[in-house]
Amino acid sequence: MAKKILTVDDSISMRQMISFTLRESGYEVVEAIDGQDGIAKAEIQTFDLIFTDQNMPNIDGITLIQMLRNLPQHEKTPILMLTTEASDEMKKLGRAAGATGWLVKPFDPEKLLAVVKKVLG
Amino acid sequence: MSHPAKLDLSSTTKTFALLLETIHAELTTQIIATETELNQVKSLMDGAIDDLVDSFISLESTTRTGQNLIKQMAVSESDVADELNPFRNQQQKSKDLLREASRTLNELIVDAKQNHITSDSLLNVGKISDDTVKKILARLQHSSQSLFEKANEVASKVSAVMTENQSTLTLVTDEMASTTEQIARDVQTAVKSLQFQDMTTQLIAQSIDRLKIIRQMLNSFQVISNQSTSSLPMADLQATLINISNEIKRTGQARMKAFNVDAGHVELFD
Repeated sequence: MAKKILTVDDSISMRQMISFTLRESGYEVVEAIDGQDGIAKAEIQTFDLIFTDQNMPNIDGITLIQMLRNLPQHEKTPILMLTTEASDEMKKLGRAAGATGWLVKPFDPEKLLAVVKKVLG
Repeated sequence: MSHPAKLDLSSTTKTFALLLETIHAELTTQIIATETELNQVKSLMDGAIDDLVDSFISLESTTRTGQNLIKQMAVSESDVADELNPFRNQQQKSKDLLREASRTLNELIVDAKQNHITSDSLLNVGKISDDTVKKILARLQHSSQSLFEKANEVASKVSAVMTENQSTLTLVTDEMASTTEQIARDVQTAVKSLQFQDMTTQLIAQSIDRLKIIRQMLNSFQVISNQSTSSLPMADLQATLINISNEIKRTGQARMKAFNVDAGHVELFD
């Protein structure tokens, strides 16, 4: 059965590109248009991996991670931050919130897939 | 005795206010024009990116479908070849049998001629005439020979067609596989490139936001400059300043950061 991945990003073309890259490699992808939509989907579904952007309207990526970690079904789900933010300060905040890893945009499709494979074991 | 010219404060203030008004009008016009142009660029880029993403995804999907179809055809062809194998074996056996029958008939005819077998001996068995037996034997020999030649001809044709088909199919399959791989690589490059374009449109959107704030600030200054100091509405002024401050703070938390050297960097935490 295909692994299910949630991708949260407020940019439609960015979501399309992440989804395209993952779907082409056989993963099932669910898209969320922002943090609020992301948490709503995560409350009713389980995922094997979650990608989230940082700077989004309504709920930002770090807050979303904190909220996800409070959901029993996503306490241990790998969460990867995919953002243009690259400062050590932000990474520390992300790590403290419970992020599994940090990827800086624009992503390289091959690298992204390699990380996904590694994280999903 | 002449007195030094009196400083006409009222006139100077009016001129200064007029100057401020002109600058304000000009700045506002320029900012609105820039906002409009940036909006147009953003809209054009958004459309172009969407179209490109759609076309790349569709192109990749189409070539993959084509490749899968050809793979299926190759499998079907191989299945047909497999199914034809027993037929070929059977055909070979039939050929052998016909060859044997032909040989036996020949021997029989030669033997009959050599031993002068008359119609009587055959008549005793089959109750038919000597001439009839000879005719039947000759016809049988001729038919078996024709059948043998025809079967051989058909087998050769089938074999040639199948060999040709398989070789063409192999060529097409190889070519299609190579094209699909090339397109997949191109799409990967496009995916990275399109992200830069997408981020550019987000930066444009942020610039438009900033221009809006500058315009708001200009409008606020105009309101203030139109008030006389004595009647300056402090509450309005305070509200305006808070609003400007909030807007500036909001743009500080921009959705997009400018491109940096860390692009593509990956870090997994322990």
